[in-house]
Amino acid sequence: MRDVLRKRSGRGALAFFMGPSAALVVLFYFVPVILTFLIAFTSMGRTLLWDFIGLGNFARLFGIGARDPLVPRILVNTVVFTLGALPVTVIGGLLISVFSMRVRPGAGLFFRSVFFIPRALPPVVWGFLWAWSFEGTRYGLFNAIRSAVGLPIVQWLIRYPMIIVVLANGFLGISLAMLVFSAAIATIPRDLTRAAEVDGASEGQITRHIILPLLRWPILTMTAWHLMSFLNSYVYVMLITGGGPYYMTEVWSLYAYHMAFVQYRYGYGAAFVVLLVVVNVSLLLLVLRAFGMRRMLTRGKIEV
Amino acid sequence: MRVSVDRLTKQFRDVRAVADLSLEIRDGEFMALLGPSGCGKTTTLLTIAGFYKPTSGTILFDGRVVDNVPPRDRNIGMVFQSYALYPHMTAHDNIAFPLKLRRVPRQERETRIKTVAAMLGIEDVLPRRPGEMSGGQQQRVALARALVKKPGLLLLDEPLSNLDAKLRIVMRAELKRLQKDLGITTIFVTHDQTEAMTMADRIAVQHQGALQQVGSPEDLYRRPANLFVAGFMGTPPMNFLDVSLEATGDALVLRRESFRFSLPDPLKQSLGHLVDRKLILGLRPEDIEIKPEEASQAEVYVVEPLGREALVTVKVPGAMLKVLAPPHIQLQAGTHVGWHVMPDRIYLFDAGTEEALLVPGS
Amino acid sequence: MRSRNWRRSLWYLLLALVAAPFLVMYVGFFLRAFGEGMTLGIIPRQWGITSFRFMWQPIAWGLGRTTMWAAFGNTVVFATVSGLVVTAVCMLAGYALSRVEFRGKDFFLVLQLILHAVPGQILLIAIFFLLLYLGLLHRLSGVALARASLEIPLGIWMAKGFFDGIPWDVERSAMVDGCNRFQVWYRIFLPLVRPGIAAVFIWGFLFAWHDFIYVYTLLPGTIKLMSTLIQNLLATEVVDYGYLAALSLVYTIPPLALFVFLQRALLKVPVFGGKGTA
Repeated sequence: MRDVLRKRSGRGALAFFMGPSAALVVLFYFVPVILTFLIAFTSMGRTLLWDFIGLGNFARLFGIGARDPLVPRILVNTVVFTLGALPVTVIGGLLISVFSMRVRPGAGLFFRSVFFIPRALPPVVWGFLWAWSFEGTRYGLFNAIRSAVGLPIVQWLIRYPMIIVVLANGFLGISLAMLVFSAAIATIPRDLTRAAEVDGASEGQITRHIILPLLRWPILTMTAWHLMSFLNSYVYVMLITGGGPYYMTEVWSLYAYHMAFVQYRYGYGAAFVVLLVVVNVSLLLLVLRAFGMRRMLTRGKIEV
Repeated sequence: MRVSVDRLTKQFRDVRAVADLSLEIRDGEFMALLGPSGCGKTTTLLTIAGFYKPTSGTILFDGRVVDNVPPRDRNIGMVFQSYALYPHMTAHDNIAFPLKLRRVPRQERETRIKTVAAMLGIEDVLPRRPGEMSGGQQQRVALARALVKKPGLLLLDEPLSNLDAKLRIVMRAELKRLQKDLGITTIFVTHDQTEAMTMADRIAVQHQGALQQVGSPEDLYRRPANLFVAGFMGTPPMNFLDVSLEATGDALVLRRESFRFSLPDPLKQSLGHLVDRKLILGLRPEDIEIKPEEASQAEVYVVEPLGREALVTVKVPGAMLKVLAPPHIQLQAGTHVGWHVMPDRIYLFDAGTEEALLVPGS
Repeated sequence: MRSRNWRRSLWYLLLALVAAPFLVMYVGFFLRAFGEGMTLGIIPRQWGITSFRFMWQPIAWGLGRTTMWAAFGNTVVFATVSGLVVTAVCMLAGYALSRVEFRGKDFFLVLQLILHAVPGQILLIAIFFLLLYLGLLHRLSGVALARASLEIPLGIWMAKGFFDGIPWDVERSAMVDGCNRFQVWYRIFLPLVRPGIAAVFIWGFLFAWHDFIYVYTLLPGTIKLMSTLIQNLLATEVVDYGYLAALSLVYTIPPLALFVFLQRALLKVPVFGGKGTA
């Protein structure tokens, strides 16, 4: 089979079709990963000089010798943020798709549209909406409404910064999870739920015994997907709180970004990314093992 | 074009689709590859077309090995089960496509399209796209596209299976006529034995990747090489009964529970060596005669009138027999009847190897 | 029956409760953009388009000024370049991955899923140095190329999906008719997956249009796009929220129109009849 390719449709054809994508993948994924690892072992700073300092960055990160007092805090922040946004997305998405299937079709569509909008908005606009809505002066949306009805102004972003970034990210996740779950629910044959209804199952029992078991794979996929997504997410946090106040919402990847592009400590920032990459790869291997990727691949039917 | 398939084997991972197949197709011959789905007939056809490479064995066109010739250089025309018309092109452009790729000059191209369209009666549909044609029209356009380049070999992959029953019978006759007129070597894949019987000069029966028998339709029907071919050719299919051959006194008797059948003298000689062997008795439905006036253990189970005749299912101890009976015989389900077989119409197969041991007229 | 009606109202109530804050946000956003002189916080005293004055007035930018149109134009160029790169690369690879057998194909496909699962934005530090050494840093086209590569993994799977939808018999037919692989791709497959081409392009275009972090980090302040313009105005001391809401609307609506177009295009997939598609 392989010899056939070489002889006939040939290496040339394959290079023509696969060359550009392979080149871009190597250039913008493989090379950056290698570069990240290399930079992590330097004290690369504003001068962009390659001074290799061995494990210096990692020692500092792990608190051996000169320690970084902020590391425990951002570690806790990352865990809280990830484990906070994940259930919002998965459980929230599930509830919204199940409920919106129960109400009248038009109403269901309306609610799904409301929750889908975040996905259609650019990140800066989503960030702007949250920053403005929870602005701590009377110019902020919710404070304007509060003061209109005589309630005092609340400094949302100072008092509840983590809750706000968790919700902003969680509801962004909901838009995707809800879409996936609703599509999965729509593929469940009507006869299946009808049969259960004839058998005397209540709506709740149908959901628990028929719909949820059939949604097992979408739920697992969305959980794995968003776990990775939130773990690496920093753009929305950056746009809404900038990590503040006083590092209260500074997550791991945002800290790496700030180290590199605000403090110009590229080497130190890269060390954070290296750890993130390692965690990502381990998680992915676990997920891939659980899902059995082979099932998604099919064989060709022409051998020339 | 003469096509030789020489000891072809095709293996897909752990599945052997075609096993050691050898087949000669003569110039101008209409050959049918017949078998149930999954028997490897389409794989054989696609290998002849060049889409699959033989795992072992070779394919020769006019004595020339073509294993390394890509499909586009094999000078073949092909009609697919789904027709595979290009949905974004009109019928005209579909037919013109192979000629354009061959850089046939425009004028000659148009003449050839016109000729082939006239031959198939599709002049009206030329400006239309596949989505705006009926199934029959699509089929003709696909045929025109295959024939317009004047191929040396025409390959047809179940081309009639997507047509309705009536149109299928019309196209059957037309295809056969067209093939004879053009004298083009044709290989036709089908799972429908009626199609193969009515159209082909010769039929190659395939089963589980292996070639069972090659021969004229008459040959396969009258002289099947084994149990599979015997059961596959003919509707309704042949009846099979497990029997044993016993010698009682100086008579040879086929025996199965209460059923006994004494072999006539001429057969005694040739089958003498099979005494005490497990055999399978084959009886064609049209070779069994029902005698309503006699009574035996045979009971009429169901009667299906077919118009010209009636298909009667008869329950005999341990088996059901399909019998074609003339319609004037009045039969009621549940009545006991007698049944007879002409001794010279029986088939016998080895129960182990399934090879034919006796066929009528041998 | 009564209990069922009662329960249905409960679903409505729950959905409405969760949706309400978002509805208030969206409605407030529009009121802010089109209203003038707010009373009771969000109810405008009168309607007007003064918030949209950036369409004809320059915008203060650092010590100088800029116009909305410059940012808009840059965004169009950035998104178009990115979309075209994604489309070309994915349409090529998608065909081979759908139709050609070669060593490493499965690995490449799984790799794309893995790459898609790991958000490329975490590699930004390395991308910064890569572009720097390639001489592409601070260039719109270079950053667009880097941005495009983020969407290539999923784009490849999308394109492969569209090619997978074409029956094998159509390809076999084209090969019998005399096509080589390139001709099959160019003359038969590309016309057949035109909706797919549109979908992949819009995919690449949209994400580049929405991009903030690449543009913000890898382009100098002198090259502004809509996203960096809005972010910059948001970060100033005195924020005019009406002005920003209006600007956000002008930024958001074009891709939404594309979303609608995308759905239309996706509905026009050619239909293949009959069996034998395996």
